[in-house]
Amino acid sequence: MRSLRRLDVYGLGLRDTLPRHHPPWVNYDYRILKNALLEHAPSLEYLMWMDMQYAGTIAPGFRAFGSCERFLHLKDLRLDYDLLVDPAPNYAQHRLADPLEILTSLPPRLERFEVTQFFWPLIERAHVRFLRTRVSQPTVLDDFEQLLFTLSIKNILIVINMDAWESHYREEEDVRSFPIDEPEIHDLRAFSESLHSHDINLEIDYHFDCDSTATNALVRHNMTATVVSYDA
Amino acid sequence: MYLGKLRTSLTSAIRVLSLAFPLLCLFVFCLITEVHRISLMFSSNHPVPLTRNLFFHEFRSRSNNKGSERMFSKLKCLRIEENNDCQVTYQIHIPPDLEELSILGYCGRYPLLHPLSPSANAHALRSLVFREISMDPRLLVQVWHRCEV
Repeated sequence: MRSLRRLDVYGLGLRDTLPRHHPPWVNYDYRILKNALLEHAPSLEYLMWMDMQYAGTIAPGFRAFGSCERFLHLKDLRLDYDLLVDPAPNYAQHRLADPLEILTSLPPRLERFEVTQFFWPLIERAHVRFLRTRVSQPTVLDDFEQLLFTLSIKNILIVINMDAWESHYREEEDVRSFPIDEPEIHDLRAFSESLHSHDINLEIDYHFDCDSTATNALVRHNMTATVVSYDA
Repeated sequence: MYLGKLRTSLTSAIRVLSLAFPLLCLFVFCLITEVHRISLMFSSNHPVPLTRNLFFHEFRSRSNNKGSERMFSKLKCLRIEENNDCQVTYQIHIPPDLEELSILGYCGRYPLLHPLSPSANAHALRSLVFREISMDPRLLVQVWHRCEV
C-alpha cells in the first residue's frame, strides 16, 4: 500500500446497535496504526478518523494517535479530539491539551486541520489562558500566533459537541447544553479576524450529540451574528 | 396553407425528436449499465474483466469472496454499501489495479473482521474509505503482514 494517499474513516460504530462494554475501536492503541501508516504508506496526504462512537467510556487500552509531525506529505488532517490527545483517566475531566504542543505536533506541509468532538469547557479554559489575559500577558498568545505563522496551515476547523451530560458534575445522567458567554465568542471572533489577516481561516462550529451531522457556525471571518437560538 | 401547417407540424416534430433522442439514448445506456451490473452479481463464478467503476449495493461476500481477484482483475474502484450479512467474514482480495476501495454502512452482529485480506496485493490502492462501519482497527493493521497489531 505504498501508493496510499487517502485514509478516510468516519463514524466508526455509528450504526452499531450491539450493547458493547468496550467496543474494539475504543480499546486500541492508535499509535500502532500510526506507525504502520508511517512505515507502509509514507505518501499519505489525507488522514481522517472522526466521529468515532466512544459510548461515553474510554477503554484501558486506548491511546490516541498523538503527534503526527512525521507524516511529511500530509496536507489534510481530521481527527477527533480524543484521537489527537490522550484522554485523562477520568473521561469527564478531559485534560486541556497545550495548544502550543498541538501545533508543534502537526505535519510540516499541513494545509487543513480539523478537530471534532471538542468540548466547550476546553474552549473556555483556552479562552482564560490565552485570550482573556491578552492585555496583561500578550506574549503567551503571541507565541501561539508566531508558531502558527511558521506552519503551512491555511484552514482550521474546530467542531464542538455542546451536550453536557450532568454526570460531568454529578452522578445523574441528564443531558443539558453548555452555556455560551458573549465575551468568549467576542474574543474568539477577534482572534479569528487576527488570523484571517495572515491568510489563516479559523472556524468554530457546534452541534449536539443527538444530531451530530448538523453543525452551526459560531466563529467565522466577518461573523457578528449572536447565537440567539442556541437554547431553542 | 395546408403545406404551411404541415411544415409547422414537421418542424415541431423534429424539435421534439431532437430533444427526446439524447434522453432516449441516455435511458438505454443506463438500462444496459444496470443490467450489466446486476448480471455481475449473479455471475460470480465467471471472470469478468472490468475497466469501469463498480458500485455494489448489498454486496454478498459469500458469493464474491472466492476468486474475486480474477473476477475484478481490471477494477479501479470498488464501493460496497449497506451490507448486513453478518454471518460471513469478509476477506476482500484487492485486485492488483484497484485504486479506490470504499466500504460504507456495514454493521452487523459482529465487527467487520477482515476489511482487507492479509494477502492483499494493493500496490495500486490510493484511497481507502470506511464510513459508519463496525471495525476493529487491529485488523486494518494486519494488512501489513508482519506489523504488530
